[in-house]
Amino acid sequence: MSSDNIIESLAGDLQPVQRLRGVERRALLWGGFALFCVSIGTYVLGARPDLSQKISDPAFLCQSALLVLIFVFSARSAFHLSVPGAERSASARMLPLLGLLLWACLITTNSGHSPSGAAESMNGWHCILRMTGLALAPAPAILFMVRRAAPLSPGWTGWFALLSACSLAILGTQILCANDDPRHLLLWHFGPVLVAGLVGIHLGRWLLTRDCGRRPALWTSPR
Amino acid sequence: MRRAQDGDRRAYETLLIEVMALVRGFARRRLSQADWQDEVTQETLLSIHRDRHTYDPQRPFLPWMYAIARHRLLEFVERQRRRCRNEIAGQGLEEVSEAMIAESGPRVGFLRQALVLLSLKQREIIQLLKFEGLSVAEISRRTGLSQSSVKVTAHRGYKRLRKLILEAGL
Repeated sequence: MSSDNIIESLAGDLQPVQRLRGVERRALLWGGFALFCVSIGTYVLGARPDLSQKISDPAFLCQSALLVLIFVFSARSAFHLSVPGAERSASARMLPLLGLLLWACLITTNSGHSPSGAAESMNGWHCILRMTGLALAPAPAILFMVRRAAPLSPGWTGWFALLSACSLAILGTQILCANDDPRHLLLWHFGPVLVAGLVGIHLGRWLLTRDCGRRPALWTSPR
Repeated sequence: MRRAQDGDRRAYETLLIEVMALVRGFARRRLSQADWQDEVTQETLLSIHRDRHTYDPQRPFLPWMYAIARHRLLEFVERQRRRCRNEIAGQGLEEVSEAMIAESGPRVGFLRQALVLLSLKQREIIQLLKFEGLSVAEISRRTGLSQSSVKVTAHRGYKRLRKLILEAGL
């Protein structure tokens, strides 16, 4: 079949399509939804008892601000990557990574210990459960939204999508969890976000590859 | 493209003709063989058709189109690399094919061996069409690919098979 025949066939098959909304608008829409879900979840689960004091703690505020930045930049990257040609510069992908690095540095340089922190630092499964619970609606929502577009780099898109959802979820968890021990924060707050991002790469390659779920298994070759 | 998104077939055909020229030039600068340039051009046209809902009329068209073309080109290069590896690995099949040739005649034996050298997608489509006897519409329903895409894939598979048969002098 020649290219001319393909053009004829494609033009013959043409149906009107519903345009995807602008990248920024979709990112804002999802960001608002995610903030709403995490706020409700945090309110229902109950904030830490010392939250009023922590609000004036610079270390806590810096970590929270960094998490908000990771959330914003990752979401922006995920949505930009989902539309061909929308990403102006690949260097924008570095911002969330830089945020993650800074967050890890902040945790390790923070000397603040909670009295019970050391003992509980090795037992933080409840933090993972809280993070998972808070990300339960935003994470599938962002994956669904980027899948509706045409992500050309499914791995990167999946990484940023889950990183964004989980960084906001862990911000909610920091409001719930009273343990500020650096080991606890590294192992049970930073670690799960990083792992979630890595899972996002595989999930992205599986879920966001075009024709996924429609191809016979024989052809599926993740990019 | 805005008019094409609204369903204007004439505008879409004009656009695709212009896109074809641009993408062919893009592929020509990067690929040596005319066959390969055609394949990348055709795949880009299909992707543009499938992803046309993602084009935002507020943004320029060319970066969107070239992003798709670049992606298709990279995928094609990767596929070619895999195909080369398969061909090298396929050399071990010579013993098997000799048994096949003795059993079923040289053409059948060669055809089976040549099928191994096709991409998985082409092989699957040809097997469904020719061995299982499914129609293009049935394959389209089963695989989720458009009928045009099934036809194009099968056509490319036949073309490659023909080339292999001619090269073998059968």
